[in-house]
Amino acid sequence: MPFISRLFIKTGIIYLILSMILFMLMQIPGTGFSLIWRPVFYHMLMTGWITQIIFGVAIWMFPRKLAEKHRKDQPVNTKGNLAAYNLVYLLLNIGLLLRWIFEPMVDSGITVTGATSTQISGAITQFYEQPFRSLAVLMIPLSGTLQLLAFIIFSREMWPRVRGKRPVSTPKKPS
Amino acid sequence: MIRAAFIWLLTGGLTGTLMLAEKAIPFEPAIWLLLPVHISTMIFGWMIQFILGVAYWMLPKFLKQPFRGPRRPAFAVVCMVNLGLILSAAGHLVPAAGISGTIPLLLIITGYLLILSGIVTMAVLLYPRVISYRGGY
Repeated sequence: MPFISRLFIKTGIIYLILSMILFMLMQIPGTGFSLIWRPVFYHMLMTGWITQIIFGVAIWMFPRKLAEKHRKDQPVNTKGNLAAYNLVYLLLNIGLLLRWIFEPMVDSGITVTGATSTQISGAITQFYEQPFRSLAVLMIPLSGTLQLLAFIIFSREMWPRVRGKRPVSTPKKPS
Repeated sequence: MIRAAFIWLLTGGLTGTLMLAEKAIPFEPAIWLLLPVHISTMIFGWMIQFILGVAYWMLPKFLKQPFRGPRRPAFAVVCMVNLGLILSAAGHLVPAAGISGTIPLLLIITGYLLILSGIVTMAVLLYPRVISYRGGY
């Protein structure tokens, strides 16, 4: 299994465990992990775990690009542009990390039910107060942009690998 | 099906990015109409469609043609799921255009029924392929 695939899958497993811990904390009143952490939980599960597992397995399992398959100078286990996959990993995980840190800061002012920050108690919520909220205003759109860029690069790299079998032409032997 | 899943991944990512930006810097509250579109495109359009596509490719094949089962129902699944997603997204967005009443609800229900039909059809196609080559279930 290529290293980048192992990295995606192991990171996904870590996110699964963290999301389950967060979910359990959200059930306990008074810990500060209230409604504002719900989007974080959903995206930790959906993007952090499932999507990264999908990315890792797809990089490993999908057929190589047709042009690379027949190049004689390619190593046998080439799975495409590894630099692009590494970039996808970095963009996705940095974007997710920024989201986990800064989204609750923004959400501590508004919630799904419309409750204000004065109505939500908890030590963690109080930690995310005014000095950091202005930074969150910049970091939240950045996190979304990084994740979107990761999706675009991954889709671009994997698109030609979604192919059927084609007949292999026998290379001409030198006379 | 897998390529369609990539397109929905980009669509869902774009809607999610717009909503994140609106959350941080409120500029257009109507963007929150995209939330149900974001949820359905990411869950049904990206994850479920990708997984079904890979399952259709990877699960053990039958020993005689057609190796992956009848092809027309498989193509019908692609049409049903993707058309269902488009209809349900339209149903969530038409209130922004001033269309209200039963039309949005009708679009949403029709869309999700189509998605459900596609998933059930694919489940019927895949079920007999969930075997072990060593025999038995």
